[in-house]
This record gives sequence, structure tokens and C-alpha cells, in this order.
Amino acid sequence: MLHLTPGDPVAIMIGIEGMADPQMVANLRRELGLDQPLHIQYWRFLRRAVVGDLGKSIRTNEPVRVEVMSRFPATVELAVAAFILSTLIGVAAGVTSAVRQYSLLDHASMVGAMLGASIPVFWLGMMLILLFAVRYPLLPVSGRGAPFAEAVALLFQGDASTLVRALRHLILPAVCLGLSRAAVVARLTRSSMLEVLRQEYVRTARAKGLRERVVVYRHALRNALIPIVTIVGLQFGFLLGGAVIAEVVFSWPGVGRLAVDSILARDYPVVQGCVLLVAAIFVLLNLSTDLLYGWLNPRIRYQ
Amino acid sequence: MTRTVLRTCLAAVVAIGLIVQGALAPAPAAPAGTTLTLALFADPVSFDPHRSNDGPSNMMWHQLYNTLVDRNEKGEIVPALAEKWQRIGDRTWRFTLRQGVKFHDGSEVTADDVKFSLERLIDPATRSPAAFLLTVLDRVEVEGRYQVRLVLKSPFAPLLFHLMHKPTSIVPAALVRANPDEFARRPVGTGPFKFGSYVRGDRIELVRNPDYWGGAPKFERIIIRIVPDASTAIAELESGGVAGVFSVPPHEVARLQRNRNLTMLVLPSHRITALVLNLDRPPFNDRKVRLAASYAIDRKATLNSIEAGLGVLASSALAPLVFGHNDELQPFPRDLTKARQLLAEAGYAGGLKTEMLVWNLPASVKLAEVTQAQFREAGIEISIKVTEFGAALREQYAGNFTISTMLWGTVTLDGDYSMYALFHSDSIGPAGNWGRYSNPEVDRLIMTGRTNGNPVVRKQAYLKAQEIIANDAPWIFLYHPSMVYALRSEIKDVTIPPQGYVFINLTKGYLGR
Repeated sequence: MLHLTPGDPVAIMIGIEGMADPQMVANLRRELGLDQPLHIQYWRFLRRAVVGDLGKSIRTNEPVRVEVMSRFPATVELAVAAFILSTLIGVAAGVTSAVRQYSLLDHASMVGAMLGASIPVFWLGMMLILLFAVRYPLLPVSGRGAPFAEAVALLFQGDASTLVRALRHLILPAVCLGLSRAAVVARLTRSSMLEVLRQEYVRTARAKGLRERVVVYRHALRNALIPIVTIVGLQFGFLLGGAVIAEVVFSWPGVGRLAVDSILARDYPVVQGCVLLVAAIFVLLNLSTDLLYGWLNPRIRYQ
Repeated sequence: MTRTVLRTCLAAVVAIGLIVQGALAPAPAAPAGTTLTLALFADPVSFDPHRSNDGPSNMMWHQLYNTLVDRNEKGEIVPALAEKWQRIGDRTWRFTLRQGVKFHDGSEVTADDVKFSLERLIDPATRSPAAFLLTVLDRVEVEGRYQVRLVLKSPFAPLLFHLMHKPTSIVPAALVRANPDEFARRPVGTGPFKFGSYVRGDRIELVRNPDYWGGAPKFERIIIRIVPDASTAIAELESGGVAGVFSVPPHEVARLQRNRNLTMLVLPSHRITALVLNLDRPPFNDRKVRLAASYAIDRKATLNSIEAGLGVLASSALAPLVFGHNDELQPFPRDLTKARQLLAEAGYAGGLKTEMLVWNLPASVKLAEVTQAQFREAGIEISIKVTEFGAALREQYAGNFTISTMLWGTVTLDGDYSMYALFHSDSIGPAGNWGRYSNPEVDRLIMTGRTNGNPVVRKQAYLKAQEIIANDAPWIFLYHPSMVYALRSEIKDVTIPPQGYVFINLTKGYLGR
């Protein structure tokens, strides 16, 4: 698709002045393989991709695998943090709303969810920065403190400050991303819970004299989880695919930003690398979500 | 149940509180006053000076490497790796190198490195997008361990202006020959700072070179953070997360100027914002229509709406700080009556309709919209065709447009760079003369400026050429925008020369109070 959008990586690469030399432009195009028809370019890509060679970036001349994988840990960090946050907040708010339907708490969390789902991420990000980093300088404005794995390793050597720094950098982008996702989870949890709470077996459980907490968590929530897990799984895939806007606003060096930079520079090999990674993640996540069903609901069995 | 939720929330709040608390404890960073953190809006494309030509890369090369000659704050050419030089014939220059200058790996800079570097830049196999800087170079001859001779294809007066440009940086021949890719990852130069580390998309760290031939810098360490969003960069600056930002939106300047912790730098630039007219096609093949279009523009209003008024109105492609600028020429005033009258004389009494080719950059699109509104009042109707940068360039090279937006810079600060590329008839097509302007007298004057060794004669030639061009009106010159940068006030003695942030000088800087 990207090949169809007008634009020429060579022109972007060498700029106005460089294009002055048609011989050089032609040489460059041949070297990059851009003079070949699209189907041949694609065939070359496939042939190399099956042996794990994704080619070299047109722009930086670095191997695509290195480019993409060097960005991936940052994206995973942010995605996991946002995922945990959105699931915790979302499920808690959803369950509370369902159990106390039409109470003040229910209305408050549903209005919150409505806002969370409709506030644009870049605006929320800027507001969080202005409030918690500029007005009240509690947290850093942007950037990544230190790779999380590295920080944890240092923790075992007795250095907690690196981990603290990493976490502090993580908070704002994770909250920014997590809030919008939490909104969706909360609404879904509420409707799913409401449905389950009206079922006969819940009444039976209550009639048995079980405590309300056991009824809600062990009997109702577990059965309400199936649709929630599906959506949450997809959302995690979405987050891992790179939360482009949050990554730009918070200068987070993740895959999403790499993909956007590469699209703007018409750096085809890197774009292909990013897409391949995201597609693989989605497939894996969908598989693990499906497997989770069986554990959550023993009625679902895989032959 | 509610109690559990509350308990979880409480635990989370406590955890967050502990983390925030960590913030208020003294940071375990490098000792204060020795580290400078700056924000850049994009990653450098390459640390190898012969592999790209983008602004961020140039800024890194300026810290890591040296060129043969340099410019001081006054704009004069001063020695760098070359101690002295001499033009010894029409097409031959001799450079004598400073002795005892060491690369960061300890090896000495010799004539071989100079020959290798300059010839590598222009070798088509290198694919340098900045090869155009030295297309005039035929070969480099080594005359001794510290002496080289540059042999040119044709006489070229502004050679020194090109040799201070960063892509002509001198690299260690042995290292680059051995493994160019590894060299690009761990660059080694002669500059005031050594390469430390780089995490793409996040940060670059440079370390002080204590043996720098020009005197060791005061900063121990330079950290360049990649912050793509301009608003985030400003927030970082205001909170003290970074000490310098080079992508300040013009409309933020007034607000930031009130902040006492910041020093705003609004500096004249070498850039020009203009509209290019195609002289090969109606309607702009008629000089009267070109003049009418020029009279239809309110330059001041355009400058105000796009650059918040930061800049000077233009009457030529050369900004006031460029060698050869003609300060006698006046920018066109807005005169709608005259514009209408000229249009009527040219046979467009009922108005004129045409299309404007516009790069898909926000600044270009805004410029096109402002122009469209101003033209309308003079009876010129334009439709705006926004086209992706690369595709638009191809149209412009081929002359497939009638009017188009143009953003250009005279990066060498010498008139030849723009006059030859933009207005010489040899440059018609990709080289820069997209509007297909051709005037034998202007060609002759530009060649005088290009080849004559006498600066006085060169200057006269450029003054005259600009006068003729102003009269022929092949372009609508609008304004020279200012460069806008912001630094924290505690930074002292960091200077930015007229070539822009790319040439920021960090060797004498320090953090004061």
C-alpha cells in the first residue's frame, strides 16, 4: 500500500540539492532495488524474510531486525504498564458499577468511562504533562528513564534508584494510555456482569448463604470474564503494536514512532518489519486468548 | 467488596507516592554543572558525515569532527584542521594541515585522511546526499604528510565556504576503510566531543574530548534527547528537563519571553520563503502578470500570520547576512490598484485562474492559504494542490506547475550557492531553477561571482545580478524567517552562529547561576 502513496524514498533521502544529479538518483534506485517492479520487490522480501533477514533500512543502512528489535522492549514496557493499569481500573470500575447499578458510584464511573473513551490521547497527554510535570513538578515530562530489565537487574545489585527513575518515567505515558483503554474495559465489564448477575445460579449461590464477595468474584465475575478477556487481549495487541500518539507526546522510543518515522521517510523495509512484528503479535495474542477461555470456563474444551 | 477495591487503591496510591518521593530525593546523576542536556526534534540519520545531510546529523558532526576551515561568530573564515591555505592557480588550492591533531582513537590526522574524506564524499558509491557541495572537485593530491592540493574541474571562488560545511568533515581513513558500518555506529573524529552512546529514538551521549586541539570543552558530557513533539520539548524546557530546544513554534515566543528562566534567541537566518513562478508557461511567462502577482501580496501580513512576525521582508533570495546581499533593493509594497491595472494590461481584466503546487508541509500549506486569500483581492484565483514532498519535487524539476511555494536556505552563507542554483540557466531543472528563469546578463554575472578571486568584484556582480532579477520578477520574494531557539538562562557562553543550531558551539559553554 505504501508503495502506492506518492513519494519517493530517494527524493526524501537526498533532498532538494541531491536530486540535482540524475545519474546518482538512478544508481541509488538500482542499489536499493527500487527500480524493480513491485511483485519482484515483494518476492525478494519474502524470500529473505523466511530466513529471518528483513533487509536494511533505506534511511540509516542498519539491519531492519536491529532497528525494530531495539525499539520493541520500550513498547512492551509501556504496553504492559498501560495494560495492567487499564485492566485493574476497568474491571474494578465495571464490577462496582454492576453491583451497585444506578448508584452514584455507577453513574460516576460510567461518566468517567465516557470521558476516558472520548478524550483524545494527545490532549490528555499534554494535560498530564502540564499538570504533573510543569505546574507541579512531581514527574519527568517525557523520555524513558532506563530499560526496565536493566533497572531490575540493578535492583538486585542493590541500586534501586534506576528502577525508581524508570518507573517515574513510565507513570504518565502509562496513565495516559491506560485511562482510555480502561474506559472500554469498564463499560464492557459492567454490561457483562449485569447479565451474569441476573442468572439463576447467582440467585442459588446467594440463597445458599454465600457471602456477597464470594458470589460476585467467584461465581459471577469468572463467568463474565469471557468477553472481557477477548477485548482485553485485543487491546494488549493494540498497545504492543505501538501507541503512536502517546509515544510521540512522551518521546517514548517505541515501535509505533519508528513505524511513523519510517512511513514518512518511505523507508519500506522498516515499515515491513514493523508490520510483520505487529501481525505476529496479534496472532500470538489471539491464540493465547483462546487458550485462556478454557481455563476460565471449563465448559470450553479444546480437542 | 468495596473495601477490597479501596484497599487496592490505597496500596496503589502509597506505591505511587513512594516513587514520586524518590524524585524529590537528590538525583544520583552526574555532578551539577558538567552535563548539558539538549532536545532535538529528530534522530540524526547517520553519524557518518558522508552518509546523510539532515540537520540533526549535521549538528552531531559539528561536535564530533572538524572540517578544513571554519567560521567564527563574525562570519569570517578561520583555520580549523587546515592551518593555512593558498589559491595557487585558477583551479588549484593548497592546504597545510595543523600538525599533531589526534583523532579520538589517538591516531594523527594526515594528508591521507583529507584525501580519503573529500574523495569519499564525492564518490558516487558513497551515496552522500551532500556530494553536491564538492561536485567541482576533481581530485585531491597528497603533497606531504601535512600538505594537500585540491584540484578543481573549473575555477571556483567560494570553495572555502563549502569546505566549512559539515559533510566535508575529515574522518580517519584507516578506520572507515576497515569497517564503514561499524564506523557509523561508533564514530571517531577530531572534534571537541567524543561519541559516548546512542539509543535510537531516545538519547545520544557525547563525552568531552580533553585533548581537543582548540582547547578542551568545559562540559563533561552532552546529552541530546530526542523529543519529536514541539509542545513536549517546550514543557521539558520549562520544567528544566532539558536546557535547550531548537524547534520553538514562533507563536510560543511571546509567552516564553516572559519566563525569566529562559533565554529566547531570535536570530536572523539565511533562509528565504518565496513563491516560484514558471516562466515557461502562461500566465507567468508575461512579466506584467508576475509584477501584478507581486503587488498583490501583503508580505508583512504573511510574515505575521506564519512566523508571528519574526523575520524580515525580502527583496532577493539572499538574506542580509549572506555574502553578496543587495540592501538597496526594496521589498514590493502591496498595491492592489497597480496589480489590477497590470493584469488588465496583460489581458486578464476579468481576473485570472491558476493552480498552486504546494509541498505537504504544514508551513507550506498555510503559506498557500494566506497567499490564496491575498491574491483573491487582486482578482487572481488560485486553487491549492497539496502534494507529497518527493512527488512535488518531481513536478517542479519537470516544470509541471505555474506557481509553487519555495523554502530554501543559503547554507554556505555565500551568494554563489543560491544565485547559481536558483537563477543560472545551467541550473534549469533539478538543480534548483525550477521556474526556468534565463537571462544571459545574469548568467554572466553569476559566473563572475563563481570564478573571480576578488571579493570586491564578486560582490559587485551579485549586487547587479539581484537588481536585474528583481526587475525581471521570476520569483515573488516574501521574507527571511528568523531562527528561533530557547535556552535555559543558566547556560552561559553557548553560541549559535548565523548558519543555525547545527553549528552550535558548546566548547566554551558552562552552567552558571
